[in-house]
Amino acid sequence: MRGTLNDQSLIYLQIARMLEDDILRGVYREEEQVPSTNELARGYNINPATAAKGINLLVSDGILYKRRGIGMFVSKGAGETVKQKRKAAFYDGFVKPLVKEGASLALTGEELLAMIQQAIGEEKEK
Amino acid sequence: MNAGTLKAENLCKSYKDKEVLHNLDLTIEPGKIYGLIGRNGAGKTTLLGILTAQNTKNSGEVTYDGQPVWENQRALSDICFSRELQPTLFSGPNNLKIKHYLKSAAIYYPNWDFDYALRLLDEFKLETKKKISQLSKGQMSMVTILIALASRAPVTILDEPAAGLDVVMRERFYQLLLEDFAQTGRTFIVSTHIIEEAASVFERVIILDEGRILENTDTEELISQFRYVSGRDDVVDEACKGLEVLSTHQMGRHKTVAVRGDAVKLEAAQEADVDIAPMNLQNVFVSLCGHGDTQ
Amino acid sequence: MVKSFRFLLNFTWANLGAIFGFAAVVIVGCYATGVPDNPESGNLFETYYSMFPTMILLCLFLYAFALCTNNLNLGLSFGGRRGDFFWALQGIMVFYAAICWALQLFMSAFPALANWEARERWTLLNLFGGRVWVFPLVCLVLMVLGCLSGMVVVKHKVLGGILVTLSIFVMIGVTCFMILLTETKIMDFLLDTEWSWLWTTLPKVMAAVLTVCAVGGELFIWRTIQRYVVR
Repeated sequence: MRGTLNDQSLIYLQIARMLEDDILRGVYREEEQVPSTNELARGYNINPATAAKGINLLVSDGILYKRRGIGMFVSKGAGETVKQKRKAAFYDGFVKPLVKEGASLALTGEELLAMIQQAIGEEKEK
Repeated sequence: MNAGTLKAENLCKSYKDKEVLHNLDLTIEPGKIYGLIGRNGAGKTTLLGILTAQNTKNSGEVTYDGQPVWENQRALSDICFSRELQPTLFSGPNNLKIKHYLKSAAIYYPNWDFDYALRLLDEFKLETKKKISQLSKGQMSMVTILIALASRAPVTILDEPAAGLDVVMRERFYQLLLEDFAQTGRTFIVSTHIIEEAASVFERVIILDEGRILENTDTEELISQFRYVSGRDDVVDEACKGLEVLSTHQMGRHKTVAVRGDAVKLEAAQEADVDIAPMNLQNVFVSLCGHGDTQ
Repeated sequence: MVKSFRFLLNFTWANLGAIFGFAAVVIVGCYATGVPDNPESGNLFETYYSMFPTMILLCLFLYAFALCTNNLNLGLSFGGRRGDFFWALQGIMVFYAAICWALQLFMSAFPALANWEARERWTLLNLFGGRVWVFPLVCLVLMVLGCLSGMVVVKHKVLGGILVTLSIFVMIGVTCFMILLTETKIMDFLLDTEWSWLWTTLPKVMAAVLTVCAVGGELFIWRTIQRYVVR
């Protein structure tokens, strides 16, 4: 179980990210319950406080909400919220590194854009 | 669990002429799992002994819930300090049987959980009739862990519990620890030098180096302040201005530095043509306590 | 204090069992070798029987040694209060002395009760010319010495060794002295000489010296426990 966590980023961020991915994939649908802090802690062999931090992050982003005495649930429109959140981070997380890498390879702007177009095409054909 | 706050203030301890702990301040808040990490000889066991009144101090104060721990019945009943077992005693091999050892523990710890102890005995496959001198290193560690967990003491301290265990048993130990914590919320202090494995279990980490506390913070909060920055030496140097450089490794013109800084400064460093990688707890520990022993 | 007392008590059962077992073996051995009927047999079991009090003293010395080394370390490692441990230790020593005294009384009364042939040489076993309280007191003193020896040996092997040797001397000395005291013929002879004053004051002096040693020993034990560092 621990194998799915790595040391590339802080654990609570990975927990939050995994829950977001699951929401996007439909593993947890709107108004469904997500694993509790203790279940996550048990499942990944981490401190419950760390799991709680990950969950709280999603709560403050409006992706999860708490039902007192029951647990954490997926908010209405959570899927959209996650997508918006990821769109906002897309530029810093994917585009900037892509451009930086391209620059270090001395690729021109046109070459980069051409590659992007090609990739879009291939994705459409799937 | 009604645990109190265990606190050391201005603690000093010397053995003969050598000062082992220097003006040490430490507060252990209840309800958290602490990891106490430090190199061999840093003073971990000495510190833990003094916190539990099992060792004497030269100066300073150690209090539990505001009262000094020394000869304090409440503190002594609330705190369990589970040490490594001794295979030999002053007068020869340790012929104490496990069941007598557990019986003795049960007398002293008011919250002792017999059922839990039996379940653990069963899981660890320990025979109660065996003498301590007949146990393997791994089995001795298991007894240490058993005592700590079954004591159900509000503040439980384990000194190198994983030392004799193989990796499978170590993983099981972390699981048991987390399960117990989830159930009871008691305070744990685990001293270890197998750092990376245990890092995800610790909510807070205490780094002890040469008798001083370097850090006592939230584990992830600490890790987030450190990065490896690597690339061409002059670019790296430029990028790391304003950051605290802890160690440097250079191969030709390739330079890798371990740096520490706040989130803003670390973000700024990303702009340069360098590779930035996170550091895990073990890396952080080595860079803080390595003292240039290793390059 | 109750915790530490219960803790130490757990270890006494096996120890006392050993002493009682030894007594049983000696009695059975005497019967097996025809000691009750033959006053002049002079065999091993008869000797053990007559020296039984000394055997008790030796055992108590060894038990006390362990009490103040291994058991002290273990008790404190479980969070035992030091002051409580000291008093529990006192209680256990009194307990040991009381039980051994009872056993000693039994062993000295048994031959008469079981109709064994009387012996002259079993003076030690008898109650030292009316000074009934001497034996338990000597038990306590030897246990204090045992504790002391244990504590000192841990820190200074040489000093501890000296202390152990001294304790053995005390044990032998007391035994000889007791034999002398109850050996009426020798006592009469000694009291007739010009040094009779020695033999009347010597017991008192010895008693005083032993008491001072015991009290001093207890103070040292208290101090050692207060400063003890658990391993």
